[in-house]
Amino acid sequence: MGTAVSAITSAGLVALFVLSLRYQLHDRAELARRTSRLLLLRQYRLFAPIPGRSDLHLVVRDHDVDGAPRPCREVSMVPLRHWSQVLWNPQKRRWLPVRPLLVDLVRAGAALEDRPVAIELTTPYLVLLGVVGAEPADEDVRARQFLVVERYGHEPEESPRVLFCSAVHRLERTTAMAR
Amino acid sequence: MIAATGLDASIGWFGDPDHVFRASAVLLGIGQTITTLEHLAAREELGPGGLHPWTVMRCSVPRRPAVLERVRETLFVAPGIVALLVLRLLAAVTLALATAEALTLVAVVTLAALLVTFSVRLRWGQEAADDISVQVALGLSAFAVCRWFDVPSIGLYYIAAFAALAYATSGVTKLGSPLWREGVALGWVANLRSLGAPWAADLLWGRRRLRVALSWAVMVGEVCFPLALLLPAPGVVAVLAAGLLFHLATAVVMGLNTFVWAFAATYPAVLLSWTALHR
Repeated sequence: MGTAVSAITSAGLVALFVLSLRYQLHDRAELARRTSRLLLLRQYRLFAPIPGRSDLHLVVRDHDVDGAPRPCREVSMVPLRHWSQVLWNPQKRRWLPVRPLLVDLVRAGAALEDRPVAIELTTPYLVLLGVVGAEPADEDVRARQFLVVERYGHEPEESPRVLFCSAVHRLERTTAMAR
Repeated sequence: MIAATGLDASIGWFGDPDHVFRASAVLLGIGQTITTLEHLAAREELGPGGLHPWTVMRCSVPRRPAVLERVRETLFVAPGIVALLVLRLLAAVTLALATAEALTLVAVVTLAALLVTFSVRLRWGQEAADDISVQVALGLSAFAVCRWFDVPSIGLYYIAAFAALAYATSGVTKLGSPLWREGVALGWVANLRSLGAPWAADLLWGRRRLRVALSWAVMVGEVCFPLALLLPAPGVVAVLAAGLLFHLATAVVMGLNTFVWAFAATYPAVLLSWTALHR
C-alpha cells in the first residue's frame, strides 16, 4: 500500500512538473488561443516581457431622469501605498482582480465590436455591471454606464484614454444605493 | 573557515526532510493565514456586486453532473464560500502551529484541496504567490502522506524544482526583453498607481544607471536561482537572502505582501536539495 502511495504521488508530481515546464514555453498568442483545462498551470513571467505601463480605471457616468449625463467619476479601487501593506493588504483583494477583468473586457469589446449585445453577455461585462450597479447613486439618477479608462500612472502630462464604453443601463434602485 | 563550518552545520539542519517539512509548513501556514484573513476582510467581493459573484461566474464554468452541481452551488455561494474560507483559515493556522504528525497531515491535505478549489472559484485576481502556495501545499501533502505510510517521497524536491522553474522562467523572459535589459520596464512598474509607489517612481526617474543595475540584478538573480544548488554554502545562503530581500522590496513598493511567505516557503526545500547534492 505504502509503495503504491509513493509511486502515485511521485508520478502525479512529475507529470504536473513536466506539464508546467511545457506551459512556460507557450507564447502569448498560443496562450490566448488555448485556455488551460488544468487550472494548476500558470506562466511565471512576472511582469515580463512587457510590463503594464498604464493603469486601467473603472469609471461610471450617471444619467438624470431626463437622460442628461453627469460628470464621470472613478470607482475607487486602488488605495495609497502604506508601509503596513508589507504585512496586511486586504485592499489588494479588490484591486488585483480589476486589471485582468478590465483587460478581458477591452479584448472582448474589440473582438465583438460589431455585436454589442454579445459584449453585454460576456462574463467581465456582467461582473462589472454588478460592481458599478452596487455603487451609491443620487435620488434623481435613473441610469448608469461604465467606462474603462487608461492612464499612465503618475505621469500628469499624459491624458486619459477611453478604451471601452458600456451601454446605458437603467438603474434598479435599492435603499442601500441611495446616498 | 570557522564561519564557513558553522554555516555548513546550520544548513546541515535542512538535510533532515522532517525539519524541512516543518519549516516549509510554518511559512506556508503563516502566509495562508494572512491571505485567507485578507479574503475574509474583503468577502463582499465574493457576493453580488462584488468582483467574484458566483451568480455570474457560474455561467462561464463547464457544467458538471447534477450532484456535483449541487455541491458546487452550496459551497461557492455565501455562506458556503465564507465557510470554506474559515476552514482554510483553520487549516492554515493548524499547519503553522501543530507538530503532531496526524494533525499536520490533515491540515496540509485540506489546505491543498481548498487552495485548488479557490483557484477554480476565483477566476480573476489570483497572483503568482497563490499559485506557488498551491504547489508548495501539493508537495508538502505528498510528503506528509508518504511519511504516514513510512515510504519515500519526492514532494520536497518537487517544491525546490518548482521554485527554480518559476524564478528561471521569469528571469529568462525578462532577459529576452529589451525593455528589461535597458531598465525601462522597472521605471514603468514603479510608476503604476496600482502596483508602484510615487517615491519609488521618483527615485528611479532620470536615473538610468540605477534602473539598469536593478533590472540586471533581478534578471541575473532569477536566472541563476537554479544554479545556487551548485554553489558552496555561503553562495546558496547569499542567493536565498537576496531572494528574500527582493520579495520584501516588492512587498514594500508593490504591496505584494504574500509573495514573501509563498516563495520563502520553498527555500527550506531548496536547502534540502543543496544538502543532498553536497552530501
